[in-house]
Amino acid sequence: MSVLAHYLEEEGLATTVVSLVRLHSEIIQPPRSLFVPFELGRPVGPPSNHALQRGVLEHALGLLESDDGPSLLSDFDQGNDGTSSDESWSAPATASADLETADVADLKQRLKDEIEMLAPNYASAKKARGRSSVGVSKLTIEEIAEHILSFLDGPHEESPREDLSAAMVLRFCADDLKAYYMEAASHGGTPSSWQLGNWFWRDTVAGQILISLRAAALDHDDKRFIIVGGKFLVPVVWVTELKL
Amino acid sequence: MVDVRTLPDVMQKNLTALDCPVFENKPWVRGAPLKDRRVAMLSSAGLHLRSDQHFVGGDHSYRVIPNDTAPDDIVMSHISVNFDRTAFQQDFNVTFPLQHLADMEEEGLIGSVASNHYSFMGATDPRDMEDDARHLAGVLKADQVDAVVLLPV
Repeated sequence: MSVLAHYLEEEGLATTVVSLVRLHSEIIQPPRSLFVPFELGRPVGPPSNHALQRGVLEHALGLLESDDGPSLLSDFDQGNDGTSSDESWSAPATASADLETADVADLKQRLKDEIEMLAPNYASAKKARGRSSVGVSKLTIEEIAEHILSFLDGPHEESPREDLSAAMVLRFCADDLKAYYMEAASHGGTPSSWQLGNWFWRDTVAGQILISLRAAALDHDDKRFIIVGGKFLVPVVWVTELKL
Repeated sequence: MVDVRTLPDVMQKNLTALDCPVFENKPWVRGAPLKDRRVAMLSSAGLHLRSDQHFVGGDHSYRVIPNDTAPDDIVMSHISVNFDRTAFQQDFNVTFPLQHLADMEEEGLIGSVASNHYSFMGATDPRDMEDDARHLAGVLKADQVDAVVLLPV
């Protein structure tokens, strides 16, 4: 964003950047930037901490009134990076499976069961938040599961969307499936991203299926499947943590 | 700020080795007090309306998100899975603080909120976005915007 801020400012627009990686902003030196102590993905702070989020936005916008330019670097440090665990949070029940012994038919059934088990939580979360981020695939959760499961038998070209390849739809389906699970699991608590990830990647059938698909993709000769499977299913932090 | 030393090796390498441009000039635009400014947001989170075209690898274009968009109509198609998405899944304000901006307008802390906000997809080299960004500057000015807050992901 620091580079874009430079272009906009050159065009005569005053800018202020929230920065998640100090190193980059130190090099690029945008006109105004505020360094924040949060995880990648949450520039304004942890979810539901509206006071903290508001503080970040006010601090960033407040830099517009300073004359300490032309390269103003500021720090937002209020001692709360939002990574602490919610010890009262309990993970939803899952339909655990042992991938070593489960056959494909069994996994398919368990994923469907698990999605159904989470459905009440997902519906409650969506109602309470007034929104859901699920939907980039433009498929229903049942269709999402079907498409992901279809890859357990190997890559194929049958796409449920006319405008996208089967592999591209797999990427969006994986994003939607994870969002469905995370939205359902986080409802009613304030679990950290680590708690949610730990639950999803260790305890759910969905997580195990995505891990399994990643391994299959990396061992395949279909280029698109290799890229999607290798890069877009399992985050690097969990590939590292689980020694995949 | 993210302490890159806490990230997995491959992410550390990617972030520390990123080829960041160094600009010789240092533009600096002064303006009215914040309470008189018209503010727009620009995100790099790959956000867009459900009905809009999703982002693809190398995409240097931006998407328009009207200020009156219902939060349920905003989705994310950033190509990277290597940042926390659980926060956005719970609370859109962590990446796109529409609600806070509206509150600040109501409280008189900013003059007004722009008609539209915008999102790029940050996995693309920002130098490839230059033409689109300069075009966007004109679009913002046409909406009388005189303050832009840029939000990474």
